[in-house]
Amino acid sequence: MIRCSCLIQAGQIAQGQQTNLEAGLEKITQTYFSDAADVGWTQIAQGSGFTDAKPSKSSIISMSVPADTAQETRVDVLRAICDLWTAETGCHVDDVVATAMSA
Amino acid sequence: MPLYLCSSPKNLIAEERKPAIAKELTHIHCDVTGAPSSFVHVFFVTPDDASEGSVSLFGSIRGGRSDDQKTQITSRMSEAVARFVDLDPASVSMGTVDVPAKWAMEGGDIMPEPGEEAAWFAAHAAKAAAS
Repeated sequence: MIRCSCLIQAGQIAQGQQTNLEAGLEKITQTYFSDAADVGWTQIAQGSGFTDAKPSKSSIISMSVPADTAQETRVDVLRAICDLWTAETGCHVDDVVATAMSA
Repeated sequence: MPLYLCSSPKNLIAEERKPAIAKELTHIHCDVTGAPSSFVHVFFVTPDDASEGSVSLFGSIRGGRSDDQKTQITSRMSEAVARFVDLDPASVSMGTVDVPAKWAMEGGDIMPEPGEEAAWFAAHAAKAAAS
């Protein structure tokens, strides 16, 4: 399983969109790692998220990828996550932060 | 990136204090590292297993910061949160983890290494203007 931890601002992503994002993350992990996605969500309550010390619109998606993942693949995965988020939620790409972390 | 997660029990940190705490943590990060404030995220969370009467800060920061910078970040941020929340400083714990810049993407671009932000912003703006 590929762990995907998603921090989102409350009220910015509808439940239906969240379901589609999970499906999209599953597609990404299957495509690049031939493994399922284990998606966790944390909603940041209104008034509790700040970017540049102002109310935040940012989503932060952290995917735990295998340690031997090539940098080129990490970039492709990160780009796929950003594309997924902007296409599904309509947010600006500047409001998406993605990481492809390894232990 | 960086992301600072501030975890506490519900109602320990008053809602009206959060903007000021976020502003101070953002200021400290930028003051210590020279990073642009637009990169700094501060999120407050209230997990069910948070320890009563205490605050836990966790920062995911770009790799390449010196030990001295990390010490300054943890000590100054812990002190600031204790002051804003009116807690004993011993009740605020903090840790950081280094995230290689090349493993993170913000705004559709791989993040710059520390010190390379100006060129990154110029390229990012040029790309946005061209699209």
